[in-house]
Amino acid sequence: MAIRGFIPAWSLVQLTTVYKMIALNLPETSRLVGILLILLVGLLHLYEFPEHFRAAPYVGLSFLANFVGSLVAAVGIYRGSHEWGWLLGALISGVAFVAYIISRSFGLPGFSGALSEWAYPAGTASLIVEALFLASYLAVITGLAVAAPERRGWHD
Amino acid sequence: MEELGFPAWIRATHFLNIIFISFLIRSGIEILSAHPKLYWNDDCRHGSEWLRITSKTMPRDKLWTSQDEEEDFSPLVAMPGHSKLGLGRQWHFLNVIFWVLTGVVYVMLLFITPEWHRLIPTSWSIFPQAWQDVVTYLSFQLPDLLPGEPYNAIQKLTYAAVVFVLAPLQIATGAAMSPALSARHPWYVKLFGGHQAARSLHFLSLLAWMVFVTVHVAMVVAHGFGRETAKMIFGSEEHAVAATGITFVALGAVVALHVITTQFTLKFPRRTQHLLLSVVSPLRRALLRRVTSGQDYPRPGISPQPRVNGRPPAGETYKELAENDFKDWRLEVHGLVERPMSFSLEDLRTFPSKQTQTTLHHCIQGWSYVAEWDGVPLRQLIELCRPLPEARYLAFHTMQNVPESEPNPKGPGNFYGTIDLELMSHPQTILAYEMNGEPLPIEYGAPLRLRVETQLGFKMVKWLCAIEVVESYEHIGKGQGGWREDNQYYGTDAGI
Repeated sequence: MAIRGFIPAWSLVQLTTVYKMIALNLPETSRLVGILLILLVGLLHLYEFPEHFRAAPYVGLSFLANFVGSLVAAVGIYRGSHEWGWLLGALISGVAFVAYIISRSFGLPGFSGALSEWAYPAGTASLIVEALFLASYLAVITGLAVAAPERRGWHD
Repeated sequence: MEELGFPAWIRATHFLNIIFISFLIRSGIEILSAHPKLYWNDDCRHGSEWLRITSKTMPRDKLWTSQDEEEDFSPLVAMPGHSKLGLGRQWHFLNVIFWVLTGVVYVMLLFITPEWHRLIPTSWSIFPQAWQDVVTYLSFQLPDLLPGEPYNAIQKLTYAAVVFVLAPLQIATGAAMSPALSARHPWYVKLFGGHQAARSLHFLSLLAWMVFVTVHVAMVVAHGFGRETAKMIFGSEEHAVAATGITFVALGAVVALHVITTQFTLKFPRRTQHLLLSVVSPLRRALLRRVTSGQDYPRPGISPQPRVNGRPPAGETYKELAENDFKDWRLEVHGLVERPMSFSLEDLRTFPSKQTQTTLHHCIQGWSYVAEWDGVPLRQLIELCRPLPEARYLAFHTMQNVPESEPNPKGPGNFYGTIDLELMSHPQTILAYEMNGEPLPIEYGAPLRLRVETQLGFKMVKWLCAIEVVESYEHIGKGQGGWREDNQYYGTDAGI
């Protein structure tokens, strides 16, 4: 079989665990990326606050809360907190991501104008940035990356 | 300006790019697997890497070498896979040659036809237009094409960046990893922040290619797979269904090419080595052979903890010599010489010429270090023995019986290597008996090793006991010019 030689070392299923072999040792860069991404999430929501406050005040206020929460998360990440800094950032990103999808697919009370309104550049950009933050968070909690003040202690 | 389209040469070079870049990525991963760690410092200090792609941890309580750090990557991702560094390198270089040629032809045709308009912006207004295109994409809409051009503004800027920034960066950082180039022009390597920084940038550029290809394919789908592929197959948007079919057949053919060449390489490694080197070696020799080393790194830059490659000889004879500080050791020079000679370590230490050089060592696996070497210029020592006119190569024999000293040997017999008389005559080709001002340590080749500063580390044979002057190396070992060439299918030219 021509394909046989391709398979023995790793099966396709094993390929899905390849991330366990990868380890980044850029703690300051990881921290910087986390801070920049969560600040971007917050700023995008601050930018959208006035328009959404007019459309549905509670949505606007949630955007404001998103911005404030993002600032707090950025401070937490800067101070090296995995417990609340990164976690708060992940919660904010996750909730914002899911809420956006719900508002476009099922609708939110008093915010029917958003239903099926997928062609919304700031919203799409926000989804991308939130997904990137969640991916960074996943990298940090799985050990693929380390975020300052943690350091790798490799002896070899 | 006449309307720009997709002329045949653009379609042809696009298809060739798919083949060459896919081979370059897989063979590049094979090369990375030999030392799956990336650094920003040329010392490669233990634990200082910014990225590692390995699950191995080296022991604290016994000697380990860089060969223990090698990973065995699957042929699914590496070409050919299974720790075949030598063959992976030859595949990489072969595809580099044809990829660069394709690029040169593409750029030449771009500029001798009006097609340069498709990539070169002629107005600053392209930047706000590109931003508007991004916003349009984020609205899940398709931006308009630039008037009379085949791309929209963000496409034009992206393709221009790939052709004029990413591809040249990939080539430039690859060239910076050449020991010959870095020996002759250390400033060039410093442009990138050093050898390891160039290696890291080469890897990051690879990731950039992978991101580009992913987004590029996603955009082809978003714009209409059949219509877009028709442009690249027929040169127009017509026959979208046929284009879709042909695209999948062509991609299948590329996959088949990978499978067949990988299988052939793994099954017939020697034949593959010869076939690939028949193309790669002449060019490598023409470009790099005449390059000489003039390195003079500052002494404070000496690496504190250099890596070790290969375990010292395990035989009793060597141990006895080492216990006696190599006082009874001799270097025999024989073969095609008028005066066969024998040198003790003391003879070499008191040799009329002593040469000191501080240089960057490039291991073929990818790691490096800076060290100071003291020794005897090889050319002067060989000239004492008066080589005969038919002499062409020097074969360096060692005291290291590989199966005896290595737990997982990749071949039989004693380690040996060869260089030709041209390399012998290079000004920084020496037989070194001191490293960093101290007698050469055992793990770095005591009592004597070769230094050829324009070559990769495997050419600088350690634990020397004899030099044989020969006309041909075909009768030595398996006849490929060195133990690694014999058993790991390396090329005997090691300027990159």
